[in-house]
Amino acid sequence: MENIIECRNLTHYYGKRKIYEDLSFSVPKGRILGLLGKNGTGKTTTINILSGYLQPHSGECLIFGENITKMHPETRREIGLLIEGHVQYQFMNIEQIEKFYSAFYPKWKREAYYELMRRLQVAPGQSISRMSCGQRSQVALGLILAQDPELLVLDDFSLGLDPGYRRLFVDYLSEYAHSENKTIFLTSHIIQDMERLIDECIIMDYGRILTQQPVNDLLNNFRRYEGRVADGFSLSDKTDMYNPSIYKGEFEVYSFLPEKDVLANLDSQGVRECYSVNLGLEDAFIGLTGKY
Amino acid sequence: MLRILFLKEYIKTRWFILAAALTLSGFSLYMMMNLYRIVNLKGAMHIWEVILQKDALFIDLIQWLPVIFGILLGLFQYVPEMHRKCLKLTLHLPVSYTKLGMLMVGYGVAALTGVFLLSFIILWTMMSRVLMPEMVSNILSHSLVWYLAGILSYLFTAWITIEPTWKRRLINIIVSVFMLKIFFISNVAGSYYAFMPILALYTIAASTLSILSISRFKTGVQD
Repeated sequence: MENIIECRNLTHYYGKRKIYEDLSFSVPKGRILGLLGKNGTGKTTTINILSGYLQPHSGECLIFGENITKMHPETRREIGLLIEGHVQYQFMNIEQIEKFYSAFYPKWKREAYYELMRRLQVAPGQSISRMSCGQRSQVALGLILAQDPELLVLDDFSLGLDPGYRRLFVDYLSEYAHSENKTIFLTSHIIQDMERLIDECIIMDYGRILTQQPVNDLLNNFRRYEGRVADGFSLSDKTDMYNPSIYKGEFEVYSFLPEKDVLANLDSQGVRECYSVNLGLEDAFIGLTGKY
Repeated sequence: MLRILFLKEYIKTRWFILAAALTLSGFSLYMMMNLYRIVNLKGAMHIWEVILQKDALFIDLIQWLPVIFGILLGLFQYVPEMHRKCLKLTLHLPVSYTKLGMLMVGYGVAALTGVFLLSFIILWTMMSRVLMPEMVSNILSHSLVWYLAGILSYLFTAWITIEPTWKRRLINIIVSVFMLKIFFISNVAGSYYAFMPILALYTIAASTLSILSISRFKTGVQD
């Protein structure tokens, strides 16, 4: 399958602080890929590199086969960019901003933008600076949908949105991406929203990628195992086990291994009344990255 | 595309440009009314005498206004771009960033030139009625230095505002202050005659400074 984004061996430092080293990933055409990670693991750094606003220390990022640092300006027509916080030109009103952007994009779909604006029930002369964060998110989304790009790069799209606006944003985006076979690369700190939207996820920890796989595969294969243990218990064989913890005699651990094998292994190590729990994306994220 | 990019700059700056044009024209009119009042009281000969013997310019009141308006226009135009890094939106447009930067600067220079031209025309028209052409030419050619300083201050403000790091911003401010000082060394009419082409070249060269800041912004330079 054709890759729309291809990042190879990205390494980046802020001063002497290493953000990550040799990070490589790709996003195939038509996929919605979510980048998940704790604060400070480099999600925004990755988005900034991808959108051409940060030169990585080493490595390269290709979008539509072009190196992002040398990308032809025309190629940017096919990339819709949502900046963290739904930033838009505050000095414009909703009519002016539509007119402004439409001049740059030949495939501009004016109706897509105004359909969203009708939902907001705002006057065409309404200034963006006087809108709530939720309303601004719809303006930003409307502009991206009207631009009709092949690739959407969305940085923390849920930031500052109440559940209603988040749901509206996710539903619109999901419907658009699937019906038009668009590729989306996004981050969000609210993982429940991602679960409704993304096909595939990359989970990052400090300095590295923990996993990249389809969400369904992750949720089908990654499980939490819970049981009871005696005081002083410690897991001796931790092969392919993630974040084992004990609290008041209650033991839990996460693993990708087949359920039967894990249960047998834990039983042999002294974990009693052991059972497996199917996970949602947020629990899977916690299981891979740990609670703190 | 040019029209729509200028429209964005116009939306940000229209009220300021109107206010600047009215203020500068108002000051120019006020100075000329003062000149007319002295002519009425003491006669034109007296004015000529003061101009020739004391190197008086009679328009000193506006000498700092072009610089102030240059700085303010730069702030009105570029602070909204830097607010929450809105400049990313502009630089994401399918146009090369050097072209975008030059167009933004071009708009500012054109707008300032318009404002200054209005004041210049008022001064020239009203002065010509009471002063000899040589005197008018001497005084107004000196005012050109101030207008040029106004344009340069605008270019420096763009350079400073877009710069992504505070450390470099501080250095840019210091450099700008020293560079602008050159335009205000002497207030004697004609003292900048020989130097004017150099000052003009200097200003043209400064028009590319904002591209340096944009380029640093693009590579994600941080403090």
